[in-house]
Amino acid sequence: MSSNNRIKAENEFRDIVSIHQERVYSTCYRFLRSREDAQDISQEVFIQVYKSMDDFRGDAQLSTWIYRIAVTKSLDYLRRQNRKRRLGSVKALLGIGSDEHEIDVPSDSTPEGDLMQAEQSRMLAWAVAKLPENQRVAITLNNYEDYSNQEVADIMQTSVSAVEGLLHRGRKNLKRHLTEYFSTRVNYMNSPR
Amino acid sequence: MKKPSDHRIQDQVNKTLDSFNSDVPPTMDPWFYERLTNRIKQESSGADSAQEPWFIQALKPGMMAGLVVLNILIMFWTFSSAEIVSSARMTNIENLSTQYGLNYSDTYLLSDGENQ
Repeated sequence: MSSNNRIKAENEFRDIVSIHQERVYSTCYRFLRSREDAQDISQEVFIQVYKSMDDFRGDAQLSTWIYRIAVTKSLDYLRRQNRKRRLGSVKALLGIGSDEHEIDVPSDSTPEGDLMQAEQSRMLAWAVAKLPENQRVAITLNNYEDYSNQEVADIMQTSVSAVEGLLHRGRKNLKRHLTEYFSTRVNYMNSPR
Repeated sequence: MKKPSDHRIQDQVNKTLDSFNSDVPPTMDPWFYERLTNRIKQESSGADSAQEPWFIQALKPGMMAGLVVLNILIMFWTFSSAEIVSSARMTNIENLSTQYGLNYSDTYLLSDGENQ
């Protein structure tokens, strides 16, 4: 590659990163719920973009392609983490190594003000994490990140009507999980000790 | 008729579902681009150093074939030398049997049933 072309490609890449980095990071964070993991996966997203820029055929929008990579990489990372966690549980059962199983259930403390808000966000994230994968992706992109149904459909490579179905079922399941959680808590608080 | 606790639960569920918009992700690293370009440089320099010179690559199949041949030769040599040792031992036992007039069962016991 000549130096002129290289400089042009580097500038183009810098522009792409500066336009999309916030949304890519935010999308990754919604799935991973960890600042460090989200930074790391966002870097991997742009590394893949950098490597595959020549292969990008332009039959989809550049932004859709980038956000699709972000979703795929985040889900892959979560699957790897889940496999590790399952292996950790098996190891703990067999008495090999320590039990690193994380139970991501919201705590019962409900302080006032901002902490109340933070608690609600945590509970919502917990309920979203319990959804089946395709409902979780649709809800995360649409409700957290405000992607339109068309954008979600493009990222998930499906139809708008399928996305609408996923969102409908996802919201219903979210309500069910939260109702179950709050009912258990109310019953626990009302039970004689 | 709904109990007051059901209303309270429904209220909490609705409030929680409304918190989608209030959940703001933490701010991202201001040095994100710099870290990213460093990582890309590191990965590409790592890939360069991992690439071996042409003569090492060309020698690899030859070295592998040499190792296979060497293994076959060692196996052949080991088995044939074991056979030589075994036949020399049998000659010695036979000589001993003839010299001392040993019967068949003594010879058999001396040879551990070998070649009988």
